[in-house]
Amino acid sequence: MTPHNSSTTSKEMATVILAMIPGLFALGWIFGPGVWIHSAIAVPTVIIGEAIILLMRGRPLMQEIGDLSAILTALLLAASLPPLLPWWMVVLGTLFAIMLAKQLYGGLGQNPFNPAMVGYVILLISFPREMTSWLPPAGLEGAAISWPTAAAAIFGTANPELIDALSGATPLGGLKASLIQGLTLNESLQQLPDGILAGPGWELINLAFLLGGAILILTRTISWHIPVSVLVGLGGMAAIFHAIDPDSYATPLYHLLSGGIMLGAFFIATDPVTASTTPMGRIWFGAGVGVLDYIIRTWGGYPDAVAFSVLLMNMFAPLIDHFTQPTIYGGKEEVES
Amino acid sequence: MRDARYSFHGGIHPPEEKALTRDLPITPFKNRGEVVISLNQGIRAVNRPIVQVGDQVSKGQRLSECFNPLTVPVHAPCNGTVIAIEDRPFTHPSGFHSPAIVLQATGCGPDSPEPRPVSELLKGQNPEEIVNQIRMAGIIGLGGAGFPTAAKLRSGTETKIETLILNGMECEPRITCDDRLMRERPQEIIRGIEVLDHLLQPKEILIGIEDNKPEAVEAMAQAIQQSDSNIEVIRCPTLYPSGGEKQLIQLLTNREVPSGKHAAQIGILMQNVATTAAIYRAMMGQPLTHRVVTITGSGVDHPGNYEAAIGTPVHELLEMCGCDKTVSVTLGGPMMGFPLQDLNSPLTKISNCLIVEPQEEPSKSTTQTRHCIRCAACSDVCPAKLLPQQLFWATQARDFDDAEQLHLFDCIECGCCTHVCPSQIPLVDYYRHAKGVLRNQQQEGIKAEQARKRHEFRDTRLQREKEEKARKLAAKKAALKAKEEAKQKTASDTGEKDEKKAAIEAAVARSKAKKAKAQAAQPLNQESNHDAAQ
Repeated sequence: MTPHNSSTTSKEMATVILAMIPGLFALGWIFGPGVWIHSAIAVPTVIIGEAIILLMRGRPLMQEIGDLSAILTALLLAASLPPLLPWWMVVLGTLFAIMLAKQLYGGLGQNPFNPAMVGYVILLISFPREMTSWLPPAGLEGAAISWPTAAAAIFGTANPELIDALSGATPLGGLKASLIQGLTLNESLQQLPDGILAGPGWELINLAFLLGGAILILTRTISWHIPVSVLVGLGGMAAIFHAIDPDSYATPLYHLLSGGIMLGAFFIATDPVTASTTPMGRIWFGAGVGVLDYIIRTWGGYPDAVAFSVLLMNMFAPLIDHFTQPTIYGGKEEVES
Repeated sequence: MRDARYSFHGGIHPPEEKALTRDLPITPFKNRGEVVISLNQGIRAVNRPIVQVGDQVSKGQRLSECFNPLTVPVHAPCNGTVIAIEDRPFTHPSGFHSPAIVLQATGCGPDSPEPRPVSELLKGQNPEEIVNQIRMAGIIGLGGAGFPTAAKLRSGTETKIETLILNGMECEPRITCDDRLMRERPQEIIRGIEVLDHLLQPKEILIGIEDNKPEAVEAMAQAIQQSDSNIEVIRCPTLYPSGGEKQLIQLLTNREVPSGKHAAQIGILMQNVATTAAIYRAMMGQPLTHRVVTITGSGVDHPGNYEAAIGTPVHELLEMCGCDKTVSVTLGGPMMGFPLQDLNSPLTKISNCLIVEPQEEPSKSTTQTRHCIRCAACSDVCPAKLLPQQLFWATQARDFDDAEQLHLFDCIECGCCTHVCPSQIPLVDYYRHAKGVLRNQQQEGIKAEQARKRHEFRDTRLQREKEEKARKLAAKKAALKAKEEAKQKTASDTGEKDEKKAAIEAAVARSKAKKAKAQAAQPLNQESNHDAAQ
């Protein structure tokens, strides 16, 4: 008959959603309103998609949609997508995420893989060109792409050549291409638009998600273990290789403020359902995500790899949990003092 | 007085809600109706009554005898007549019935005896006699677990106790009975401590009190100054479940009781403050017949701390507190207590609190259990450092062996995990169930083993008896034959020598038969002893 405190799953999810606002705002400011349009497409899609499966499974509709976890999945996916991705790809990715990766496994708490990342990876593998086309960062210099242009591009009414002209690789992708061509790090970075710390615009987005992550840790919605070890894993790998060969490998700071790493470290890798749960396990899990992300970024086929790293580590979560059980009270032998 | 230096893992800050009763003094409750003294005092063996229906009993008279060393007798809390010895509703989550002695009370309340110095009380008694006196006064741990104090002390006198800890934490929300006792009767607690000091001769004596009871801390700190024993009051931060035995040990000594062992095995013994006061009264010849119980909640008009007879039916207490509506009663604190099924159940020695709330409409319940999202909030607060969410998955899948591997039996059922679970899963209920299933399995295993052994005994016994009969028959035949031969020889006049020989042979055969019989009888005795032990 122990009473429960007021914390509920819905409240926790709502806190995470609120903590995403700075990052979503920064994304919209830098890359135009595409991310907001994507969110507006993904959220209703996720609700309809989840409702369909819940009806088929005979589960209480309002209770399960009301836990807000599906909406969080939709927002995480929307925040990961390139800003001008066609609407139907967003719908497809969202439906895959919620129906296949979450509800078919039995709903919240039962899915082994992070649903948003499953949706993302399905899109990335199916539509590699569209999924790696980003816009040049605006916002800092002047007006980002306008609402009508973004809407026209997303809903397919715009001239395809215009979209091609607008979009390009991300700084991480561009850097990788240059490094592969044999240029040194400095030469490569000179070819790219300047940022203060890392790629222009991206550093701001990453700092915004870092701010949201800090809120999550301060409100005790997530523990520090996973995000810190993700960042240490990635930063540590970058530091080692940058120290060995500064001409070919980017600095740790560049890596930590590029791509989707802050979103991944604080919002995606921390999904409790699919991550490790023991204190030591969380550290191993996070470090694994960080190290894998660096390996795929540097030597793999994709410029960024938060999604792949998280999914790969999801597979290891039960194993990690098994081997990292904490010593219980009275578990260690009493040392005679 | 000093502050606690160490801490334990996890813990929670549930709303304390002690304000309702913490400033209300202990009020004696006079019994006028029935007093139902359960012969089941929480430990498996049930007492045997030594009074009969119709007997007049006087206050403090012993009513039962007990043979199991882990049980204690019960006593009459007031003068009265035994009107029944029968099954009555028992204070248990399941609401089952248990044998009880029912008295018709003639209206008398608790005593307040003249204080006497401990040295005078203990004069001329050896430790064994003191421990026995504590047992015969019916004292068990009043903090909630109800472990017989004498058994605990006996284990304490067998191993060297270095630290004696007095538990005045009262960390559960809403309960204030120990708080009041420490504020109003610190002398009795101190005298009880002196008895324990005399028995155990510990190196240090620590009284742990949570810092949300500053008056109790002050009262105890003043009281220890008048004692010759070297006692220290330690103020501890308010954090549930700091009053758990293992948690308090860690808080005060930074030591952990090894899993599966008792505190006494690492030289530590803990007693609740109310138990200690009861020990002092036992030394004055007053058995445990009353206890202080906190009655709180919005379902009663007069909440308070009442000193009531053990055996008082709960509904009588509620009537006195001005409760005239339909209420739901929780026995014990909000964290570890359970809903009382039957308000006719009596107060037991371990009933420290009654939470009385107006009965809610069942449909209004707002808590909805959702799926576990493995957020690990439970393992962050678990004072035993378990992995409650993994235990939950194991118990939910009915994989109880796996649950045991995850240290299910190290769970102290404090309820921290349930309290913080965002999915509102009643985690502790799952663990209690799993423990029950595993204990049953264990019991059944033991029973099966015993049955197998009994069966084997029976088989060998039958076999032996068969052989025995055959041997006897053979011996008889031989004896008869010898006799006949001897007769024939006497008849044919062969002299005395042969007759003698025959007589000797017959005697040898008789003694052989006797020996064989004795051999057969011995295992038989063993077997019957074994049966009796069942």
